[in-house]
Amino acid sequence: MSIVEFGILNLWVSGLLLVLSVVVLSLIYLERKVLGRLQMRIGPMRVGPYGTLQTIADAIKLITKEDIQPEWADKRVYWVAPVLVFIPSFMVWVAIPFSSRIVVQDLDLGLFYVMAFLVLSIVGLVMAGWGSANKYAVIGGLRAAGQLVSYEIPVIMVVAGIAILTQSLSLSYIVEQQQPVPFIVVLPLGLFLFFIAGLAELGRTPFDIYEAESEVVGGPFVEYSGAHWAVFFLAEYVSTFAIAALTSLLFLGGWGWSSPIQEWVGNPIGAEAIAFGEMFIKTYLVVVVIFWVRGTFPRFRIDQLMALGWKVMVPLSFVFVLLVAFATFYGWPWWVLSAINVVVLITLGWYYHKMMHRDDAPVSVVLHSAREVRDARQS
Amino acid sequence: MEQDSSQSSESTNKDNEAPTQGEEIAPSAAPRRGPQVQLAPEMLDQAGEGLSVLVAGELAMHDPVMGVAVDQVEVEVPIQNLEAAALVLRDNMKLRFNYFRCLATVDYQEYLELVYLLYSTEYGYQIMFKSRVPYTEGGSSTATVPSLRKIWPAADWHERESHDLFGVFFSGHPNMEPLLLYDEFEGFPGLKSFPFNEYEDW
Amino acid sequence: MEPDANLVEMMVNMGPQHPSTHGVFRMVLKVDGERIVDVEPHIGYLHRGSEKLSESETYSQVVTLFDRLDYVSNLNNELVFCMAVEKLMSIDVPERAQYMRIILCELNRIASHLLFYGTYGLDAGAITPIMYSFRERERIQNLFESVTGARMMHNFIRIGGLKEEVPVDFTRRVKDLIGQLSTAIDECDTLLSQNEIFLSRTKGVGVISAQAALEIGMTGPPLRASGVVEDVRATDPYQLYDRFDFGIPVGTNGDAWDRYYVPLEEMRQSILIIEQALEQVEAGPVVAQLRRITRPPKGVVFAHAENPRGDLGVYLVSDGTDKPYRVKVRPPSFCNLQALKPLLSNAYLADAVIILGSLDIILGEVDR
Repeated sequence: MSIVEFGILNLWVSGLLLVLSVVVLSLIYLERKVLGRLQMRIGPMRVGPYGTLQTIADAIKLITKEDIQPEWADKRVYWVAPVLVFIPSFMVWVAIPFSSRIVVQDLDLGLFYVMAFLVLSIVGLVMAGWGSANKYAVIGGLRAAGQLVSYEIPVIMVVAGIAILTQSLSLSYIVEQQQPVPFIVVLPLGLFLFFIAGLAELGRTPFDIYEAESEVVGGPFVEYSGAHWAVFFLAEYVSTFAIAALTSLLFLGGWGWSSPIQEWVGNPIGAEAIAFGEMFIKTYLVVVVIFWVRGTFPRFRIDQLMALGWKVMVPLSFVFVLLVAFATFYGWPWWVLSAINVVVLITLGWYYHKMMHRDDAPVSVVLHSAREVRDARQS
Repeated sequence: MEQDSSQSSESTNKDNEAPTQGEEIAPSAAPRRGPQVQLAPEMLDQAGEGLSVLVAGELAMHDPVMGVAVDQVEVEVPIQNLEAAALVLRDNMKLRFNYFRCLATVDYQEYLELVYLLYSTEYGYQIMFKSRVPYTEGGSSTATVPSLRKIWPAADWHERESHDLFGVFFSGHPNMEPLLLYDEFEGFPGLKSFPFNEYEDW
Repeated sequence: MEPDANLVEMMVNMGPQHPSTHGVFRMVLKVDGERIVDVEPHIGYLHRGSEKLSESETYSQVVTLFDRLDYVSNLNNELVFCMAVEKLMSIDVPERAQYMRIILCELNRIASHLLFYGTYGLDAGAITPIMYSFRERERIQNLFESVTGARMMHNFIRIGGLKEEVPVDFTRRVKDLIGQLSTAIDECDTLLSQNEIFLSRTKGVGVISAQAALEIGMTGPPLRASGVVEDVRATDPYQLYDRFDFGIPVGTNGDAWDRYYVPLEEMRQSILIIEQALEQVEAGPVVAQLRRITRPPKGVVFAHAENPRGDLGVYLVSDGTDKPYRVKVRPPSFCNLQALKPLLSNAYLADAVIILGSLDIILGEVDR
C-alpha cells in the first residue's frame, strides 16, 4: 500500500467517524422527536430551531462532565470496555455501502465481515459489567452475554440464507440481485427474524433487558458517566444505524428501487446522489420503526427472552435456511418461496395469539354491585 | 383572652398527667371560664350491642372488660390472657375475627395500652381488642407482651413498629429489629416521656 | 479467607435509590442467578414521626400532616382524619359538604390510580403509558388547583365540612372533566392492558390467594384482586356512600395483572359515583357551625375510609384538649407491603419490580 493510498484510507476513516457522529446526533434528535410524538409531546424545542441543537448541547454536557470511577473497579477493564464496545460497531461501517460507490471498502466478503464485527461488542459489555464492581452491572453484563449469544444465531442463519440465495457475500451484489423483486417480498420470514433478532442484538425495547432501567438501572453502564458513558451511547446508536442499514440493504433493495431515475438522470454524480438518497431514507425509516417499537412495548423478562430465542427464533431460522437452500437447489421461482414464507408467518402469528389467549375470559376482573354487598352486610 | 389561653394550657397539662380512660376530670379543678371536658358519646347500634354481649359471653373465661368507643365495641383483657383471648376471637365460629387491621399503642403514662383493631370479613364485626401493659423501668421502656404474630401474621410489622416506637417487647416474635427507626437510634420516641422537642442529635 | 466455590447466591441491595422502588424503599434481595431466594424489606427512610408530631399540633393543624402521608391522594387522607374528629364530636356535616367531599375524593382516587397506571407501565418497561395517564392527572390537578388553591397538600377538607364553597363553575368543569376522563381511561386500557408482552409479564406473576391475602393483612385493590369483596365504601359505608350505585371490581386470579386491572376498573366506577353525586347535590352550607377551636370530648374513636390504596384508618385518642392525645394511622400501603416477602420468594429478579409495583405503595404512608 502506497503512502497515498494509506492517506486516502485515513481520510475515509476519519470522514466516516465524523459522519457517524453527526448521524448519531441526528438519530438521538429523531428518537426524541418520534417518541415525543408517540407520547403526545413535542420533544425538545428550546435549543436551536425546533430543538435541533439539543443533542449537541447534551453531547457537550456529557464530554465536560466529570468521569467518575468507582473505587473498587477493575481499572483497566473498566476503561477499556467502552472502547471495545465502540470499535466493533464503528468497524462495521467500513463495509456497509450507501450506494455502489459511497463505501469505504466494498469487500467481497462484506456480509461476513459485518456479522463478525457485530458479535464483538458483547465482549466489551461483559467487561464493563465486571469491571464496574457493581452487582447491577454484573447482572446486566451476564444478561447481555446470554442475550447477545442467543440472538446471534438467528441473525447469522438469516444472513446465511440470503447468501445462499444470492450466491454472494458482497453487499452491493446482494443489492443488485434484488433488482426485480426485493427480498422483503421473497423472504418476509427472513425480514421478520432478522429485524427481531436485530433488535435483540441492539438491546433495544422490548429486548432492553441488560440495560433495563427499572430493574438493573442501566446494567453494564450503571457506573459510567461523562465521556465514557457517551462512548457507550455512541456505540449503541451506531449499531442501531448499522442494523437499520443492513435491513434496508438485505431486504428493502438498498438503492435499487430508484435505478430507473438514476438511468434517466444519466449524470454519474446525480445518479449516485439519488441512490444515496434512497438508501438514506430507507435506513432512517427502519430506524423510525425501531423507535416506534420502543415507544410501544414493555420489556420481556429474561426467561421469556431466552425462550423466544431458543424455542422460536433459532428453530425458525433453521427452517428458513433449509427453505432457501431447497428453493435454490431446485430452482423454484421466487413467488413459491414468498408464498411459503407468508404461510409460515401467518401460522406462527395465529399460534402465538392462541397460546397467549388461552384463558377463556379476556378480563379476569369482575364487578360486584356495591349495593348488593351493602345490603348483604346489613342483613 | 390571654388569661383564657393560659388556663386552657393549664388544663392540658393536668389532663396529660392523669388521662386515665373513662375517668372524670375533677370539677373542682376546672378553671373559672375554662372548657368543660366532656366524654365522648356512645352511639352503639343494635348490631354493636349484640356483638358486645356476644364477645362478653365468649370471652367470659378471660376476664373481659367491655366498653364502647363512640360506635365500636371495646373489650379489654388482662395481659396474661391476651393470647388465649385472641385465639378465641379468631377461631370462635360466631366471631371469626380473621382480619388484623392495626395495632395501636397508646402511652397513658401510667401504663401502655395495646389496641388491636380487628375485623371479621365474614360477619362485618369490628372490635377494639385492648390490653394494658405496665411500665417496667420507671416509665422508660420495655414491657413484655406475647406476640400475636402466629395468630394473625399481619401483626408482624405492626408489632415491630410498636417495639420501635414504644419499646414494647413481643416475646415469640422472630425479628424485633428496628423497622421505622435506624439501628443506632436510642430511646422510644412514641412515648410521652421522650424529649421530643429537645432531641437534637439527628 | 478462601472464597467459597459453592457460593451461588448473591446479595443485591435494591434501593433506597432505585428508579422503581417508588420512593425511598430498600429491599435486600438474595438472588441465585436470576431467581430471588430471599428478600428483606427495609422501610423507614421517610419516617417523619407524623403520629408523634400530631400530638403537638391542634386538631386543625393535624389535617395538614395527613396531607403528607399518602401524598398522591391527599384529600382522601384529610377526609379520614376529619371523619374521626367529627365522629368523636358528633358533628352533622352538611350534605353539600359531604357530596363535595365525595366528588373531590373520587377525583383524587382517579388521579392516584392514574399515577399507579403510569408508573406500572414504566416498571414493565413501557415508557409511553405514563404520558397518557399524566395528561389526565394534570387535568384533575388543575381542577384541584382552582378549587383548593393547591395541586397537592390541599388542606381543603376541614373538620365539619370544607374550607369554603367550591367555585361557581365547578359542576360544569367536573362534568367536562369526567367526560374526558372516561375516554382517556379507555385509551389507557387499550394502550397497555392487552399488550402481549405485558400479559406475559404480569399474568400468573406474584399470585396470592384470598386466604393468604387476608392473613397477611392486605387491603384495597391488591386484596380485591385476590377475590375478596372488601371495600369500606360498601361494607362499612361512610359519608353518603350508601346512596350510590357502583361496582366493586374484584379479581379472580390474584396475580399482578389483576392487581393492575382492579384500579383501572375502579377509575370507571369512580366516574359513575361522581356522576351520581353531581345529580344529587343541592345548594346549602358547606361547613357545620362549630366553635373556632376544636375541642373534642374525651374518648377514643376509630374511623376508616377506602383510600386509593386501601383501608386507611385513624385511631384517635382525645383527652378533651385542643390537641390529640394520640393519633394512630392504619396505613394501607404498610399493610400491603408486608405481603412482599411471600410474593417475592422464588420469583425472577425482573418480577421483583413488577410485583412491588403492583402493590402500589406510597412510602410517605408506609413510613409516616
